[in-house]
Amino acid sequence: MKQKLLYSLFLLIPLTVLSQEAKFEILPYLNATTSIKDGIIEAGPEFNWNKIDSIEIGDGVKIARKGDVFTLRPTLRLPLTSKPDNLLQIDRFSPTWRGILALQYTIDNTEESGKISRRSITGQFEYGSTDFKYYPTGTKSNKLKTNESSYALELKYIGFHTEGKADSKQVSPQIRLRYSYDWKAATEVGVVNPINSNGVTTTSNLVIDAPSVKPGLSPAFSLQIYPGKGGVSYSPTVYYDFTGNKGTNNPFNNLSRLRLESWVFFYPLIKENSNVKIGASPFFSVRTAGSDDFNKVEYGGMITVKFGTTFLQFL
Amino acid sequence: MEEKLNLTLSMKAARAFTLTLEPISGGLTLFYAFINGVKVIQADGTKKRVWSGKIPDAQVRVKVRVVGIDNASFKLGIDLPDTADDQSLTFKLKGGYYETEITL
Repeated sequence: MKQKLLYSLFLLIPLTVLSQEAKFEILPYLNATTSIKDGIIEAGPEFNWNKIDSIEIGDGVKIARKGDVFTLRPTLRLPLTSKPDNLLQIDRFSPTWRGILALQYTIDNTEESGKISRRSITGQFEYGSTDFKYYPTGTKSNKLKTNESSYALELKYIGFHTEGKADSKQVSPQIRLRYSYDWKAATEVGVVNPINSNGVTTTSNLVIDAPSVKPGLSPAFSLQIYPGKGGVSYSPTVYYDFTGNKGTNNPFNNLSRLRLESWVFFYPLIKENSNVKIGASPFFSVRTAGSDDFNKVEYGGMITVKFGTTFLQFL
Repeated sequence: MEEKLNLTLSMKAARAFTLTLEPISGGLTLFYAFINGVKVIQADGTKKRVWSGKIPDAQVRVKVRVVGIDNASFKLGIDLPDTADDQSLTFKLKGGYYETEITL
């Protein structure tokens, strides 16, 4: 009896695999974000596997029905600056390069009529290795060099729901959980040099302290809303950033800041240049634990211009 | 022998067809296209999406659904060699949505 069950399973497995085919395609992927003080660029290929079923549509003609999509995105992130100490840092900023491997699975239940609904889950791993130089005695001749590895893990969910009718509301709940373990160089300080042969005293900017590492956890939630009328969408968003003590893995035992943003995006109708988003948001950041170089409560505004991104691309 | 005959008939009954959906202006979120109810395009609206294949000689229903912002516009392209070469129409969304059905 057991043998029969085993044989049945062996017969069933290849049938299950063969009944579904996959279509494979490669696309380029580029994501660049800049601000006045910092910026990042991410680039690489995007591999898509589309699960397809062959369906007959008449006269013996079969076509492939699009199903769930599995996406693999190996990219390289390069920072456009090495300054890591801004209050409003670009999301996912890293002061040095990172190799990124993102895996995404998309389920789209949309049919010929009725509601339009899709969900995607993305898991991402980032890794970077950096050489840090520092001068513990304040002299250039006494240089120390160390190599450290940084990494981050990220999980993201993006949903999308609408009635599939004119003037109907569109909503996209988005959730992100990110853990990072980033090594950073210590800040440069001015060091007084010995008096030179002309009797002049000069200073040099040197990194005295060794690099340090801090764990961080950044949960974020955003709700993208398009009310079904007008050329504007809304994105209330909350971030809660936790930072742990130097050299530990626990992100909860030092600093934490809660940040609220309320984005309004406008989509201009520029011919032959679709998917341009112009956004503005006030922000309110409050320190809920620990200490940093900023005020307990910080507030202000942000603007952004995004090219080639849709309503769905936010977190 | 019977199988071979069926195959020949179905080959004769098919015609080549290319369907394209291309963003033109404004925010285009999702493109969908269905041929006789079978989903053949399912993608975001950031770039031109193409489906090419064989369709039956008999009447075929092509349905397109596009989601976006306000009255963004997109181009629907149809290419049926020797019948309707490279036909294209530009549509505007109404309240962030548009759907159209074409019978070929």
